[in-house]
Amino acid sequence: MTVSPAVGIDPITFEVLNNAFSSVVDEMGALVQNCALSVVVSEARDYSGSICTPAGDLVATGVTDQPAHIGTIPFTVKGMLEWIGQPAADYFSDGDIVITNDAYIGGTHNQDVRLIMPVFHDGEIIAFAQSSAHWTDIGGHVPGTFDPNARSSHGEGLIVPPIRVARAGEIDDDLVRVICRNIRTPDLARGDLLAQIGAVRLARMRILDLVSSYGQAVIVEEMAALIRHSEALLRQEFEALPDGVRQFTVPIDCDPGSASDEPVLLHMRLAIAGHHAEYDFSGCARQAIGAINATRSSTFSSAIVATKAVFPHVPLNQGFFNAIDFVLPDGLVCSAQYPAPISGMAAGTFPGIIDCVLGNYIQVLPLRCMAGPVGLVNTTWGGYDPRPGHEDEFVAYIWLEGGWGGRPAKKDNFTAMCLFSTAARNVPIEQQERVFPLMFDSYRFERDSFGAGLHRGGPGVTRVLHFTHGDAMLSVIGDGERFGPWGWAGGSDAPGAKLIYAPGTEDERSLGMFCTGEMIERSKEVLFFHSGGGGWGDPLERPIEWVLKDVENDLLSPDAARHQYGVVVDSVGGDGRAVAAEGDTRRLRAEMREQRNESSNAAAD
Amino acid sequence: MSTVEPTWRLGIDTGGTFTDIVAVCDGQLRTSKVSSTPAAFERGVLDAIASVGVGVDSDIRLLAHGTTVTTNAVITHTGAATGLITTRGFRDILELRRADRGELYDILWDPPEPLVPRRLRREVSERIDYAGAVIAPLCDDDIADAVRVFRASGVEAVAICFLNSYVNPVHEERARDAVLALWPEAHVTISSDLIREPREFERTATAVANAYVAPVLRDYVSRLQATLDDDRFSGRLMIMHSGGGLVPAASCLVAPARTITSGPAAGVMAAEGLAGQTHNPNILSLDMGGTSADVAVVLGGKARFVDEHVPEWGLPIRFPAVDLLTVGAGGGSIAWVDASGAAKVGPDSAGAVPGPACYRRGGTYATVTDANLVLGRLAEQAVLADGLRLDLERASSAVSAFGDRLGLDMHAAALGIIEIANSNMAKAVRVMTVERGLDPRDFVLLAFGGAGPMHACELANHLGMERVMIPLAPGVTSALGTMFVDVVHDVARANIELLQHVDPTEIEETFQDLEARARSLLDDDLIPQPGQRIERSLDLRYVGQTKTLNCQLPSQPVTDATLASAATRFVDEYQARYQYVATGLPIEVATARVRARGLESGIRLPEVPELPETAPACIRPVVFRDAGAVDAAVYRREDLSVGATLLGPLVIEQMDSTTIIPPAWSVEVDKLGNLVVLRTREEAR
Repeated sequence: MTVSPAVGIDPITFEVLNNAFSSVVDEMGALVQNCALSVVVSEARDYSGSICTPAGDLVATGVTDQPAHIGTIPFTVKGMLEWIGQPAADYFSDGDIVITNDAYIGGTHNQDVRLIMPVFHDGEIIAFAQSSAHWTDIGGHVPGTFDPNARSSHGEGLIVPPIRVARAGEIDDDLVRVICRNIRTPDLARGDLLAQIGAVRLARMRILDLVSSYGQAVIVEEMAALIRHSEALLRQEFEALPDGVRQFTVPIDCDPGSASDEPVLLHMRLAIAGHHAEYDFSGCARQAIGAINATRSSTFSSAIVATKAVFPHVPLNQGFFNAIDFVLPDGLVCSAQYPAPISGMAAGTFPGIIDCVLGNYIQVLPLRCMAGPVGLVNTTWGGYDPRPGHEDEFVAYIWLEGGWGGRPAKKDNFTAMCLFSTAARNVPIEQQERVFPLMFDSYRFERDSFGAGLHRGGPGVTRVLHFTHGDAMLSVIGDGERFGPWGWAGGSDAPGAKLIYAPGTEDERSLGMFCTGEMIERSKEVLFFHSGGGGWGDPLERPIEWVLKDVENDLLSPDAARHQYGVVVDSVGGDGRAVAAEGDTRRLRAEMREQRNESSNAAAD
Repeated sequence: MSTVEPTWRLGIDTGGTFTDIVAVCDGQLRTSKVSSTPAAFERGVLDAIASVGVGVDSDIRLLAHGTTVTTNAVITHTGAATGLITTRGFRDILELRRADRGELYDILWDPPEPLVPRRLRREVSERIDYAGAVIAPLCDDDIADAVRVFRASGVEAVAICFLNSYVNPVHEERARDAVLALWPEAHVTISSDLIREPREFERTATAVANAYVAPVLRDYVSRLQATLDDDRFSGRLMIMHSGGGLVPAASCLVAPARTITSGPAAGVMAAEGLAGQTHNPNILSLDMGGTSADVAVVLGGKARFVDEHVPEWGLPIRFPAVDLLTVGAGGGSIAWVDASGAAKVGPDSAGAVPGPACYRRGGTYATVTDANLVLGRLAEQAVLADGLRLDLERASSAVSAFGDRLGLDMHAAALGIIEIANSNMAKAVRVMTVERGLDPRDFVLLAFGGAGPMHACELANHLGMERVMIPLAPGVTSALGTMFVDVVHDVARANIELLQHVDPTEIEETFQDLEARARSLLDDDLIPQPGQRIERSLDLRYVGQTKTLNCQLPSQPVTDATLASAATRFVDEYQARYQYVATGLPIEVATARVRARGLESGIRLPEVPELPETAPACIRPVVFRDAGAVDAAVYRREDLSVGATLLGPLVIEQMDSTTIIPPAWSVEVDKLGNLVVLRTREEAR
């Protein structure tokens, strides 16, 4: 058979083995999801599994894998190879497994624990299998380890550099004890660790099965071919784009470690030239004092994830990295230097970099893009659960869904997601109430919670909860309170996130997006609102029926229909149907357009 | 399945295009396929019965029916207008779902609309906590408000799901009574009647789907029953469900959501039935049709079950369902080349229109069917069920065009299409076997559906399997599956506690409660006591996990020894699936389950008559990967006699399917008319 130049292996075998590799990584994901103990992993799916080449290049990832991990994985493996400081084949024995969570060795934050296993065949390492999972707690000052007051990565829990947790097949129980002793929920940690070890061992076994069917040379060549294939696909997409330079800036609310409340700016310049794309982050702010920073590997990861969302058909592997030229000087908020604190990377910098990428592509490829999506607010709640049968420390990691941005290619956005392009899910309320001493008072879409536009953003979401047995300690690292998801092409920004203690009582106060060890009294409600998406296009162009449907569904108030869309709602009938006052609407929309022209003329003068 | 009676048992499976029938009586087996009648599917059922020459008024004991009416209602969102009543603050659970996505990265992906729009999701004041204690009473006025809105909006069916109702259903039950008191003609589903397990979204979705299809199913079944009655039908009409069982027509409103996608489940039950009748306890079933392939496993003579099935993204139906996996590999799957020169097959399908290029209905892309035609595996002269003739020229130019982009000649391109389609199916087989701790080489591959028999042997080669079986009538296998099943009801209750803390007496009481409910359902079905069978099981996990493994228990009072052996079984199954055991972690019980069977006297498939040895109908060249183009004898299936052994390469043709026997495989017809196909020598992968 012939050879396709991009693929470099016969095209039929290429695809047959592509299927085989994706079976392996999907099976790793299924194992971790089925076998892990913490609900963050089992219900909410904050994990990933992957295969890398002996050099640490990413080959394959699974369909439910946490995108935030994916882009960092090659950096973890490469970082490990550098850390051990000698040829991997000399250092490792067959059956060894490495554990690490070191954000500064190619990681994300210290809660993400990675297990890496070399796959030996005939005395040679032919691949690395890796399983990552977010552990609910990794120790440190506050339950859940998210601490905006940390001024160093050493305040963010246990740091484990790449060391062997299993040698030649034997798990090092002493090491596991040391790790678990540093964690508030040692049983969950141990169970999650066993599941992850199970996953990398399984991957090793499956890869060796493939080697025995196809031969080592074919398998090694296939890994290289998969990478070449993705790179070629992505470069073709770049080639099809007009050459030129764009830029985009988004703010993080503030640096929680600084006395100033100045926003921290993220900036990206996208330069397309032929089949080259340069992502230049030199314009980002200096690294922050508080924990909103991200390591270089996190920033690569978010840039890759956002790019993948624009070009979803390109398989995510090392070819993606190879096709993009990154400019990322050290010492920025998105390339923080050790020992800067980084636990809040997933709420501040990570979503901000995603916004930067989308904000550039929306200028070039609008039909494949959307206005600003919701980011992430991490909340962790811990304490002692006195309920019979529990009687132990607990840590609950609760995040919240929000809306995605309006898209010119689609009517509206309906997505309610935890975080952009995450595979994560919510944890069922009934599971949380069973496992933790708390009760939810609501979990619902919020009215008037999205950016207006011809194509509106997806609605934001509110949760209200209280603790039923004893007090709890809350720590939060979030963002997007001051600056909600951005609108585009005339669409408006969405309202910002909110976290409010004891709403509607005399104790009511805003907790903000950064708090450490806040005591939450038993039975006091906490309201947690997360934004909808930004709007796309002129709201006055939005068809009246679309506006009315949102009013009928109580996603939009008649007041907002009037002020944002110029639609005057006449009545909402007994069957819940809304009717517009046609004449009034026509007049109001004309007035609003006129006002807009006047103010833009005034601005021009 | 005790006795065999000299009366007819009919199995009828209605799909969107064809209605399939299998009729068995006293040593006779008849099969047929007629066009479905979507405007009134019951007419197609009558047509099917007429087509096998059985009078509706003749001695028919049982008509087992798999129907697509509820599937269609869900897929096309044309079920009953449904209202949902929830705990105050939680009406959006149905639409928030699990806050995940069907496509992780595609910005343009949208979730399907929820089956109940937001304005028909009404909240009422009430709250029950995780332990079942009433925290806030149910507000009757709120119920009355909801009913007012529903009636004003033309709602026909109501679903009610409250938080923690799985622990204490009292508010759901009171709410149902309150709705019915105000509005007696409403159809009302409460979630706790269907499921007693945690996870509010899954329970809400199941209750909503149930309410949504209930009026549709009720109307269809009553029309069908009336039509049959008009023709003096004297047997029992039963409806197939996705849990691999039947439910009498009169009880079809116990859990209508279970009838959604019952057809694929029936195919797996055919595999279970054939496992018993051919003494092959381990079968891997492959149902490959025009757009997709379903893969399932029968182990030790039993189909396997999972705890939910998902007819549409974001709509889990939380009932035990036959464990099967669908992949986008069928005859119509399109072969394409991506921008960087990699070959792909599917998941897009040309469907029936425009169809494969060889259908001459406007399709221009090469499909799996075109590849099969180009390779001589399908006959150019073949006439499809709807009278369609295949066009070799169009297939050749479509496949050649695909090959040109890869630098492959036409035959290599066609072989590549088949190989990639097979590797897609192999991926599904690996999920169903290897990922569950099973080795596909321990199984017989039972291939059916229009395209399954054509791909079976090469797929078996790919998986290292040595035995393939093709049933007598591959195109009506789902209808055959309804022949082997019993009346089945599943009831379950969450019972979350450490296994070491379980008091055998207490769990025995739970089982007895569940059994009492299950038996009352069978009593309602008029199943006499001696025909009632109860199967008990426990869902177990390591404490902290959310995923469980189901472990069967003997149907005797629970003792410490019973629980100990369940623990052993759990650890064994866990080891087999996950390749490790979490030593030191305690095991937890999640759910107690009871499956109640009303035994139906099953059928014994008749033996086929012996025939004189026949010559092949013709010889034609067929292309294989290693052998190249070789002359293959072509036989009509009905000409093959029991016991005759033939060596590949061979083509065996019949009305609705073509079987390909490659070189190095042999075929024999068993007493029941199945083709038993064996690999005669080692093939590389």
